[in-house]
Amino acid sequence: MNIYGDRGNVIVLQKRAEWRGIPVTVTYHSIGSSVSDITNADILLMGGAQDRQQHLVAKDIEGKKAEALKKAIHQGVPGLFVCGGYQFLGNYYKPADGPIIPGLGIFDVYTEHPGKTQKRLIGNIAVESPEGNTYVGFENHGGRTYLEKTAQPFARVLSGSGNNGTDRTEGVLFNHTIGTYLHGPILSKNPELADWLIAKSLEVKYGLRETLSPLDNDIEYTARDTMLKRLGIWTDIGRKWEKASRDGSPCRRDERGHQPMFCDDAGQIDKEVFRNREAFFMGKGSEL
Amino acid sequence: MRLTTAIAFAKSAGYVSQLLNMGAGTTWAGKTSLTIFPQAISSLSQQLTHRIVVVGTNGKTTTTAMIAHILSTTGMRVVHNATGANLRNGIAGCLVRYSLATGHMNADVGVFEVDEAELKHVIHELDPTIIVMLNLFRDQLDRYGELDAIAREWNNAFSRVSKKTKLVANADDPLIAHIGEVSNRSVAYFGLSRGKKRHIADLTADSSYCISCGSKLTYEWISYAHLGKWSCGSCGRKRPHISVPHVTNPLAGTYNMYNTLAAFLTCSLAGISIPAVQEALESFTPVFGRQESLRVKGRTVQILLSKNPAGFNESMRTVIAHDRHPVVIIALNDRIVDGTDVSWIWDTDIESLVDSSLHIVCTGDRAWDMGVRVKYAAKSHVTIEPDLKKAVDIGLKKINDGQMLYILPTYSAMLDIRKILTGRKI
Repeated sequence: MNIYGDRGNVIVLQKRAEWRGIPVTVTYHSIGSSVSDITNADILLMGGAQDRQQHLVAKDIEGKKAEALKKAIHQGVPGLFVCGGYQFLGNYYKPADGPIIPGLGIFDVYTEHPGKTQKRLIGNIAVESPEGNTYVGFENHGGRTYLEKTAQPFARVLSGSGNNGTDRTEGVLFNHTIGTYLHGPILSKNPELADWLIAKSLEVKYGLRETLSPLDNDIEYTARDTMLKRLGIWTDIGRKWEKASRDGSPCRRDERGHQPMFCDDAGQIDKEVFRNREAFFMGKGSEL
Repeated sequence: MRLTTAIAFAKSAGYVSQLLNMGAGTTWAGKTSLTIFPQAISSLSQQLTHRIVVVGTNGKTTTTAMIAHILSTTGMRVVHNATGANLRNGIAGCLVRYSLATGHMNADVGVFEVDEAELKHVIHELDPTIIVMLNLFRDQLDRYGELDAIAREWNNAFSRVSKKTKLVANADDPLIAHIGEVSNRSVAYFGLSRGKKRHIADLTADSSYCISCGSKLTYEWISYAHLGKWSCGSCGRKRPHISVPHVTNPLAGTYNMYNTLAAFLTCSLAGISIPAVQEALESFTPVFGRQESLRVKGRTVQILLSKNPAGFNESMRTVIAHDRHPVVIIALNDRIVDGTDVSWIWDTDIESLVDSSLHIVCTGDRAWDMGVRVKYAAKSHVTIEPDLKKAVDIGLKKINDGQMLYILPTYSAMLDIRKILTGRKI
């Protein structure tokens, strides 16, 4: 399934692997394709689709393919499931009208459409990951997703709606698999995520734990910073920050001199912000 | 009485707007007239012998202009929303402009392009005699939603107009053909007679599944995107029979061939003879921002509006067919009229279209996003300059004597660039 440019995620992964000399084979799994596509994959991706296509895909994937997908994700094969793909891996989807559509139950989340009169959640979005990375994307979804007991959010919403527009959670992280509402496509302006998926696939497949060789991310980061500035999350001060110190402190700065939101200007952890943040990820959200 | 009051006020609003250089003034005039007299559109348009409505994702402005050009060349007085104001206010404003203070229309026929999502709000008021359906491509999902939903809306909208209304439909677009088939009315189909020998549409193509049974469609050939001679191997649906006259496309690009055929069929239905249509087409010139050429500082700049993947791909193909080493400015904005979601740039075929022989300048509100897209697509020379004026200067400096500068802008970027180059948006 591909809509809203999500095939861009495939392009980004392929290029970033190839630029490092890692050969990539892309297999487009579609209706009627063999289950071996799934069992052979080192990274799994799924986008969203129009409702009609999503129903067709759901039917096709029942049974053997669903089992193969579950097994791969449980074994740690990294994956990225965006929007419709994210909802599909949850427990169920309750549409605006019509019967509940069961999901694959890989993510312990459920999605409900609040009815046709309710607004879709549309717009630019910025989130912060538990590691303190800031990601940007574009969301466009009618369904509201809620995390159940065992689910960990992928990120915390800094600007935008996220899973449901109320608890500030965005997406879900299970093993090495991300479920998210971020289009954009998400990997295009957040190269760290692309590299994380590549690194995890090398780790799972070959047991390699080396860090990937660095690439020039200047254009990607500037695209992201431009959006962060527009959303009022970063100001020009960010430009003057020093280069990252790699001391392992949670306040280390990234290549661009940006540091996590919970750090103060002196590079120290702002304890109150940090505690609130920990509580957020442990307790899965807070009221806006 | 209220109609004439509405016209008086609306005309003043239009003049004031133009006087202050706020734009073409049509939309404000329309809003004023509808506030005073909500039935202004139907009262005015019912006086026209033909009311032609053009819908579709790409090609509306060009096709509407072609039809208007042909009809006026053959002596009709035509009212036409030439500035692309294709929402309800814009259409009302346009009718007001061509009306007399007495409330009578100073025109014989109306040709209106109508926004995809707006169709349901104005169709019963316009009560068209002919509806032209060009194509449905993925465009501004944040605003229009999914293609299937638009197709359903159109079906519903068509059920609210007279049974005598004729349809002109693109047979090569499976979704458009479907809307024609279920409409239960007289449909004239247009389509091409050949294309590239390909059996399956691209991965990024939109409507490549059978609307009846859900199977993947197969093609004898494809002209571009999901348009072609299609059939469904499972349920047997296939491209409807087309009536294709021999006609010369006055513009470059396959997409304009479809626009020309649509205009041709429509004018035939409106009673214009084939030779007269042919002759009129020869004098047709491009409309603003659509393959429009402008002279700037002794150089020629061509603007090719590119606001969605299908349009972008065709613009790029047109550029490459004309110039081996082109300098191309891609101007990407994300304002409401452009669609606030720019992820569509990843659905373009820029990988297969662009190589190191191009110089690309990325500009606009989302210049850096476009820069990322080009970086992951090709080994082209890329300059990123968010400021439109500076980007145009860079482009003008890069071209050689006698070479053309190509600009592929989204809608709002197109208006801003025209303002920079000519002093006026439209």
